[in-house]
Amino acid sequence: MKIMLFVLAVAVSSPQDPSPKPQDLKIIRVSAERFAYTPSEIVVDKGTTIEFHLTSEDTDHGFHIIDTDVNVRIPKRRRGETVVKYTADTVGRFIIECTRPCGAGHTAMRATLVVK
Amino acid sequence: MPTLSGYMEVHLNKVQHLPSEADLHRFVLMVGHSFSDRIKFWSEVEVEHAFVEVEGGEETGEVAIEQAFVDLILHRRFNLRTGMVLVPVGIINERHEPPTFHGVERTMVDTVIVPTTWRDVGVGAFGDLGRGFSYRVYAVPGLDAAGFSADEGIAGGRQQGGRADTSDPGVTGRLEFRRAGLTAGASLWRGGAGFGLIRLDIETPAVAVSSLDARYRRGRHELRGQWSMVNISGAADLNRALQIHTGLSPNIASRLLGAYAEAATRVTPDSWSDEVVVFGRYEKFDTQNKMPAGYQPLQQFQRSAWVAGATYYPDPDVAFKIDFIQEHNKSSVVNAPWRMNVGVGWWF
Repeated sequence: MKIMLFVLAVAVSSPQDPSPKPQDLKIIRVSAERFAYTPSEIVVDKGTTIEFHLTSEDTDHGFHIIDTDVNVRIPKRRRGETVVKYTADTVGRFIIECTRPCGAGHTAMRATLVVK
Repeated sequence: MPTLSGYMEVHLNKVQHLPSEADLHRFVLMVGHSFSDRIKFWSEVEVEHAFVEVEGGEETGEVAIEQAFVDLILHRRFNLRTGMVLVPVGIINERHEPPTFHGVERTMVDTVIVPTTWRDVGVGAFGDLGRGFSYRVYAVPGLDAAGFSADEGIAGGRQQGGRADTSDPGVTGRLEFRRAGLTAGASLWRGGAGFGLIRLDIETPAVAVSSLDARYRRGRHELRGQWSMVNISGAADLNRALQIHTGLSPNIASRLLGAYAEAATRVTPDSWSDEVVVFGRYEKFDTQNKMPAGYQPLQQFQRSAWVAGATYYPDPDVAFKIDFIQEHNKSSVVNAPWRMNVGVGWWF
């Protein structure tokens, strides 16, 4: 009976659990300023859940990871931060773009998320 | 869905010995549109000094398209841009929204050495090279040396995208580095300037503009500086030719030199959302820095200035500004005036 309970306990805690393990959560702080994100390239391993902490050094900016559901507004300087989670479950290069008009270089305000 | 944004700035300018002036200096609307994730359009239409009227042969204001380009996004490192583009030289030319700089007016270096807002029709590439580096490079029409002057350098030679003569083209580019509060850039414009002088039978003058700049922010403090130099080859021939043509020598220099250093600090507590920033700046802007053989510099244009002021931000996109400027020059005859400026600029 004890052996059966042990086997059952192992099965329940098997790696099939889809929720991310603590070590798969990566906090990444991104600063936005006309007309760039810093860092401009973010590299993570497939399966990582990223917790983006987004702040601005000037006006409000957008943060849209193209082809994903992540599309948020970054508040203006010293008006707080936006926190958004994204699980990088697809390998590839994803473009991050500013979606709020911010000035002369707005169309080139981009960063890249690389999922390996 | 097209987007609409813009900026405006209203100034009250007082120059020593002259009546004060109230001026809606700039009213700018920007329209953008994404045709897709990879094809973007951006534009900027500006009215300067509220209206345009010709008085005594001089225009009182200006209506201009300062940007109108299409981006083709291809790769992180390489993308294409064509249309009316901003020349990527210095800090202010590409980044001139009023809340982004201190002082009611743009720096004198960004007025008489780097003639902002400098733009023209062009085609080129831009991209992110990684490790904090990015670049922009464009081919653009050249300058018209017939418009150069002793006091404002190459500013009068900009073609500004209106039926611009492309027979004497130029190339311009900028390499920029960003990391943790630091932005540093190296810029270049190099090209011909002689298409307007073909009938004057002189060697075609060429212009090279070089500029280095940096901004660094840490906490409540910010430092910024810029060094810009303009070299004009064949300036002696150019002066002689224009003198024959107009009767007056424009006394154009073979080298113009400008630099400024600025320190700013936020003096309001961290707990306040409103911000007051005080700043001080020293500028040197010498449009007669090196003269061609046979020409003497006009010393009233060998100038420098101390600037002190403050910016109040009730919102990061709204800037109430005040500054006091004491100019100096090397002339013993022409006194440099003091200036005082008050203004408000906003971005939306």
